[in-house]
Formats: sequence, structure tokens, C-alpha cells
Amino acid sequence: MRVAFNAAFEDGVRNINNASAALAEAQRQLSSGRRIDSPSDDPLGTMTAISEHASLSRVDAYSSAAGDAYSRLALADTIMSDIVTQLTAAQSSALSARGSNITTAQRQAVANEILAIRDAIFSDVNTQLQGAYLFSGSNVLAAPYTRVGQGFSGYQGDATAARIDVSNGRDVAATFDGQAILQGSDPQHILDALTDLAASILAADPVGTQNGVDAITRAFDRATLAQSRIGNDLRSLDDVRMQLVSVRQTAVSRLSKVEDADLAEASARLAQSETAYRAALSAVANTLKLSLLDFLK
Amino acid sequence: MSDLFRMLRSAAHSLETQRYALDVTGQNIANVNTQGYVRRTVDFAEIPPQDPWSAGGGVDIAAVQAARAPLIEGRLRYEQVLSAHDSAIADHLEVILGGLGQPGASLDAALTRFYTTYGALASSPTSATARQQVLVEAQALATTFSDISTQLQNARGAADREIRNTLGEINALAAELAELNAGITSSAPANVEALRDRQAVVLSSLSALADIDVIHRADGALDVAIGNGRALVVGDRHYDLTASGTPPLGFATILTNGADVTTDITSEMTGGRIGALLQIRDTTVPSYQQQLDQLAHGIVTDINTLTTSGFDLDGNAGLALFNPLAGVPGAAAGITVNAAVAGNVRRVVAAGTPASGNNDVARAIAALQDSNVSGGSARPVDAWGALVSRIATDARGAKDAAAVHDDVVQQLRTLRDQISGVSIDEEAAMLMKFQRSYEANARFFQVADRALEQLMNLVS
Repeated sequence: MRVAFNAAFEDGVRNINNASAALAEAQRQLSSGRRIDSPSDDPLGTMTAISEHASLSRVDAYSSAAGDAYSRLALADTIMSDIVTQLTAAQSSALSARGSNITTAQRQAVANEILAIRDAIFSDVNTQLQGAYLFSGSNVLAAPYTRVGQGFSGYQGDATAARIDVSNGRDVAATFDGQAILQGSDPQHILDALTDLAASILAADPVGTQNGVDAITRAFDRATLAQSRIGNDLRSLDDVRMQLVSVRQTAVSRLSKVEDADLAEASARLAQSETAYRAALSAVANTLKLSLLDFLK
Repeated sequence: MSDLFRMLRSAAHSLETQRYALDVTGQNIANVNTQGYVRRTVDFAEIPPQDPWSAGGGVDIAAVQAARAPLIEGRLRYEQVLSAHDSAIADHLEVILGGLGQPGASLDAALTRFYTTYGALASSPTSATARQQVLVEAQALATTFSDISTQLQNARGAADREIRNTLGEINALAAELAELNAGITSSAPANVEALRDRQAVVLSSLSALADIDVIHRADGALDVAIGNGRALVVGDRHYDLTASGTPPLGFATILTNGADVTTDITSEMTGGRIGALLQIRDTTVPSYQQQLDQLAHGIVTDINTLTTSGFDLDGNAGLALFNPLAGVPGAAAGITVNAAVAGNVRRVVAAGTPASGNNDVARAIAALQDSNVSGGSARPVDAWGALVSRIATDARGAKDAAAVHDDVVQQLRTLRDQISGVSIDEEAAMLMKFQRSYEANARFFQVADRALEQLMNLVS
């Protein structure tokens, strides 16, 4: 076989270029930490990476929504606890005002206490978070109840409580139906009922007082039911948040497998390709040096 | 005595012959790095004796042969067409991929951010900040779609410019071939081989640009046809290809200017670099654009369907977030945020009922990222991933194919060089051989001269 000078030279240069490219690739992977330089290096891996990046962002968005929902629910839980406490206090005060041996001054004190409790409940139910009322259902810009003269308006929100998604297929309450808590199927809401109860206590009206106590009992039941629902949502959120952490870890690990260079392998390949590069350089330098011309005198 | 004189003449001629062979060796060595140079060898021929008392007339140059390898050259041209085609496609697709951005930092990120802002809006439907954020990300999404569409269009434009440049190169090479044909048929035989070396180089360059058919003539000239047998070079004439801008985009159609008719041969140009460029410009990139437009159209349709079914913060019937698109073609480039919504954050639709705190539409839009896009069979981000993956797969396929053809080209070049290339060692051996031959002939001349001198001394 004839070996032409140019062919040998071009072969040598091509081998040097190949070895140099392998060295550069190993160096790139090691220094950048990235396995894929161009999508064409691994089209399927690129598609997976795009999908996993989106999954990660989705998980982060859910985590943020879950965090937001948690603070809302925690606030709602606190408010409901307070309402339950207030209703308990109102009930016990109303019960203490029953009987014939209660003085007018005592009745007055109990009536005042009932009215103070009513105002506290009114304040609780009108709590706002970031400018939106928590207990107006979806009508969050309207206060659930407003004062009208000495009394109160009817419910100004709606019955549709908004919910927010905290993971795929799971949602929790973001707002609450104030009417369902303060009125339910009663003819009047608890604020008016407490106003009437205070008047009945002052007037030593046992029927009115009993009606008031009954209204408080029903309101108590509704409030505890609402509170237990909030509690359920909070517990569900705890589960979701733990799940999201685990899903995130899995997505990060899958993404890393696709995108990140295996540093140990890249180091080994760097050493290997460096040796190959040296060998190619040395082989070309040595073989091209030799010629019959060296022996012609 | 006349025989002695004849011997002197014969020795002188043999010396000249060996010198010529040395000269050819020198020419081979001098052109060791000349592209297309084919190694020359000298064919010696004995000069037969003229009479019974003569051993012969010495040696003469029968011919100088160029060690050509026409079979391999033909195969090389065939492989070069394929290699150049796939390389050009791989190069252009790599440029396109470079412009698409990394996973997590391109349209996928814009899509995810956009849907995420609707998730945040669902948490706080009355928040002006959340509403503003929706508008910001909607604008960013429209801009990203438009940028990617522009990049694809620019890729087509770049291919078109290259097509026009390539036509210029093809015409220049065709003109040179015609000139070489004229030279080959009219030059002295001694000069023909140099012209044929150049002819092979030009043909090789031409076959990288386009798929050509070569017809060898008996006189050494070549006729070249392009496309479906369209004459490019016939003898000493060449027929230029011209580019004609065609509406609506002004892209070039390729015309061949025959003797008396101009023909559009764009569809016939399928091989080589120009075939690849036409494929990129007219088929490959438009199909990517169509896929991108389909995605853009589906996303806009899905979002607008939801926003127009809902209500804004003031309880008014919802407006489309994006201006409705005329159709799928041009959708990615044509996405714009509805100015009526962009100018007033209260017009952003989050509610499915007139109630200000309702977040049904915001939740539904946030959930769109988990459902298939209208008219498609994948989630928005996955549809984008499929497009990127498709371009990447095409690029990878072209790169792999080009590498295979390059290997074949390399092997064929090695084979050709084994026949046609200059080996320095071989030429060094030749140098030695002809040098020794020259020395021996010189010695023969000397002997004949002395014999003649002795004879002359006898006479005198």
C-alpha cells in the first residue's frame, strides 16, 4: 500500500482534532457541571429536562400557594377559636342571668357583656387579609356585616367560598361563608340574636333569654363545625406540604440525572482523553518526522 | 566511427531522459501539498535498433502519466454531495437550537411563569399586584413566542441568503469548468494534466454545492448537468443559474437560463449544500414554525375561552386576555395582549362569577398547564419540549449522517491518495533511482567518448 504524504498528514491532523475535541468535551463537562451542551447532544434528555423544569416550577408554585393558604387558614382558625370562645362566654353569661334573684344592675352588666361579645364577634367576622374579607364568601370586597344604626345589616357576602389549589387535585378554602357560620338556617344572624338577648336579659324576659341561649347554642355548633373544617384543611395542607417537598426532591434528582455531568466519570474521561491527546500528538510528531530523505547522503 | 557517434548521441539523449525523470520527481515533490495535484510518473520507452550493428537507440519518454483514480473520484463526488447536504442541515439546525435557549430558561419558563401568576391570582383575586403580574407575564409570553418565531424566520432568511451566495459560487465554478474544457481541448498535451488536476478540484467543489451529473468527453472535456439533467456546462459554454425573488417573502427561486428558455428548477435541487439550504428554508423550518404556531394558537384559544367566560374585578363580562388570532399560520408572531386589559388591571379576569373574590377562571387557567393544549395532544410545556426535541433530533440525525459520510469521504480520499497522492519516501527513492541512472548514463557517455578519443588517436 502506498502511503501518500498528504494522506498521512491529514489522517494525523484528524486524529489530533478528534482527540482534542474529546478532551475539550470532558473539560467542558467538568468545568460547567452540565452534561448537555446543545440539545442535539441528547434530544430526549432535553425534552425530559424541559418537562422536569416545568414540574419543579409547578411544585414551587404549589408550595407558595400552600404557604399562602396555610397563613389564611391559620388566621381563620384563630378567628373561629375566638368566636367559639366568645359564644361560650355569651352562653355562660346568659345562663347566669336567668332566675328571679338577679338584680337589675347584674342584668345590666350581663347585657353589656353580651353586647361586648356581639361586637367582638362582629369584629372577628369582618377580619380582612390583604384588603379582602375572609368571611364574605367570594364577595371579598364587601364586609360580611356592617353596622346599620344601632343594629346590623344582613349578610353582604355570598355563599360561594373561594378555594385555592395546593397540589394537583387538592384544594383548600381561601374564604368562608360568614352567613353559614353566623346565621345558618336561623331567621336572624347571631349579632341580632345577641342584641335581642341583651334586651331580653334587661327586660327579664325568660322566653326571649331562652331563645337567645338557643340561638347561641346553634351558632356555637355552626362555628365549631366551621372550625373543624378549617382544621381538616390545615391538616390536609400539612400532608400536601410534606408531599410537595418529596415531589420536589424527586424532580430535582431526575433533572440532575438528565442535566448534570457525572463528575467522577467526567474526571476519568478527562484523564483518558488527555492521554489519548498526548498519544495522538506524539504519534503524528514522530511518524511525520521520519523520511527516507534522512538517509540519503 | 559512426556507431560511436550514434552511441554518444544515444547517451546524451538518455542523459536528457533521466534528467527529465528527475525533473518530474522534483515536480511531484514540489506539489506535495498542492490541492488536486496528481502524482506524475514517467513512462520510458526503448528506442529500437536501426541496423544489425546497433543494440538500440537508447531510451525515450513515451509519456508522462498522471495517476488518476476516476472511479474513486466519482464515488467521492457522490459522497461529498451527501456529506455537504447533511453538514449544512446540521449547522443550520444547531444555530436554531442555540437560539431556543436552555431548558428552564426559554419558552418553557415563560409558560410556567405565566400559568404560575394565575395560580397566585387565584390566591388573591383582588390583589392589584397579582393582576399586574399576570399582565407582565402575559406580555413576556407573547414576546417570547414572537422572538422564537422571529428566530425561525431569520433562519429561513439566512438560508435564503446562503442559497443566493451558493448560486454565485456554482456559476463561478461552472465558468471555470467551461474555461478548463476549452483549455484541455486546445492545449498541448504537456499542459493538459495540470488543467485536469484543476478540473478535478473544481468538480469536487461543485459536487459539495449541488448534486451534479458529469459526462466525460473523449477529448478530456466534461459536460455537467444539474437538477433533472439541466445543462450547466457544455463544452466551453456554461449556463448561469439565477435567483429570482418570489413573493410574499422574497425568497429566491432558482432559474436556469438555457439556450432560449428560462426554467424554474428550485424543486429539482435536492442534493448538496444548496439542496440542504432549500430544505431548511422551504420544508424543515416552516414545519417547526407550523408546530410553534399551533402551540401558540392553542394556548391563546384556551386562555381566551376562559377569560371571555368569566368576569373582571368590577363584575363586567370578561375580555379576551390576548387579541384573537386570525388562524394558526403566524400565530406565534402575532400574539399580543389585549390593550383594553393591559391598560387596566381591573380588567384582568380571575372570576367565574361577578363576585370579586371568585377565582374560578384564575384556577382554571393555572390548571391549563396540566391539560393538553387545544388542537394538540400534550401539555403546553411538553408540546414545547416536543418541538425542541424534534429540532434536536433532526440536528443529531443530520450530524450523525454527516459524520458517517465524512468517514466515507475520508476513506475514499485515503484510497485516492494511495493512487494519486505524492509519497515523499517514494519520490526520495525515485530521486535516488534517477540520480543513479543519470550517473550511469554519464559514465556510458564518458566511455563512448573515450572510445571515440582512442579511435581518433589511432587515426591521427
